[in-house]
Amino acid sequence: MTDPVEVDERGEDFDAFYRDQFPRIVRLLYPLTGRQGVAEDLAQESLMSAHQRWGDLRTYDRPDLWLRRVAVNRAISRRRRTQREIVGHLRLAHEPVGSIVLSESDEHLWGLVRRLPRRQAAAIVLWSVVGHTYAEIGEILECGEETARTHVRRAKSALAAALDEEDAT
Amino acid sequence: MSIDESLRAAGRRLDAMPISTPEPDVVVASSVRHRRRQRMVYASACIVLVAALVTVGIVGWNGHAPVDDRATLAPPSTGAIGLGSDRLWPPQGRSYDSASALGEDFVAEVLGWSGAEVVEVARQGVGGNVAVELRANGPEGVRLRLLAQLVDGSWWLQEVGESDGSLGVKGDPDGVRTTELVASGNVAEGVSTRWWIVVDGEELAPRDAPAPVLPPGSSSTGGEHVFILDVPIDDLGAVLVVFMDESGVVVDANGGVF
Repeated sequence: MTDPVEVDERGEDFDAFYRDQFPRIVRLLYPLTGRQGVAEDLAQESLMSAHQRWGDLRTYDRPDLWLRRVAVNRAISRRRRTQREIVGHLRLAHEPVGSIVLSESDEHLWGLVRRLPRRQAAAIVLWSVVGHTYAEIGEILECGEETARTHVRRAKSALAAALDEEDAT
Repeated sequence: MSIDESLRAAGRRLDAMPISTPEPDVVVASSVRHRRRQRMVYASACIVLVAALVTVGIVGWNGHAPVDDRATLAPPSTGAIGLGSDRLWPPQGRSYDSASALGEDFVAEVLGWSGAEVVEVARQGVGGNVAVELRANGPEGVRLRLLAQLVDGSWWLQEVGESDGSLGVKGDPDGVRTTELVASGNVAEGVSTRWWIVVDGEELAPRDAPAPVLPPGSSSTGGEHVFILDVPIDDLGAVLVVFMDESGVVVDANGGVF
């Protein structure tokens, strides 16, 4: 049972924030997780954290950047865990088909992104899917703008090299 | 098509995918339940802490030696981790033939801390996914983050802890990034650090740590520098020991939050 007082304290503006951000976060996390179900779970967890701190967050200029930071960090943690958990594979076998249906080439590209070092992967997804500036990427990944630019540049180089190698073979 | 165009186009196609949004009530209800659970966890922790303090008091009353090296290392909830030179680890007078021996002794030390229930101690080769992983029970959702600025101006992030309630320190899974830690000159002068305690993604207490401490006698660890970073935050004590070789490359790390 929910606590009606705590729910009311957060009001309708959280609902609006939630409805606006949920699909964006899912689309952001999909390339990093490769599974829509996991992306949706992480999006909900991240928004739950946002709800708990909505009193402060609502005063931020860009609460969406805070939310993206939390979501990306959760995706990174999740990725580390699933790498060593067979459970993840079992879940994959039973996961329902989601609404994200991409072409084979797009899925392949995001698959290559997931093989990148995790911060590079996060940076390139923030750059390509969300269209964030380097300054925003730096804020989300908690690094400087130049470091964010370096992450994106290295990610592009690595992806280009991987694709070239595949073409050659 | 260039890689830039390929990525942007793929991003646009993904952005056009429909996503159905569950009702926010689901998240709100989970959030409230989570908050209640956290309160219960903290309340339970307080009860355990009081019991531990009573136990320590009884042991002291019975005449056992109250202070030894281990006691000076106890976290704030059971003693204090400070930055005073008498609380640096390893304590003065101890020397080790290798970082490995030092690391094992550290783990043994942590195992002796009350309140630190070590779940798993895994050791892998340097450059692997995990240099030393020390997992201990901790409050749900608590993570520790260390951000270090390197001499070349770039930043290096070390994250500690998992959102599932376990806590640990990991070497950088990317491997490559550790090579970016190469620094010329005195690493201790070149690296500044900042710690955060992160609870469910919320940075509770950003603070600048003092410059990494190079304890006396560290040269006796086979030429490897040992940095000990510890910080008491509220009821939690956090410590991270980073082993670097003389070129500044991280060769090992361990620690935890208690």
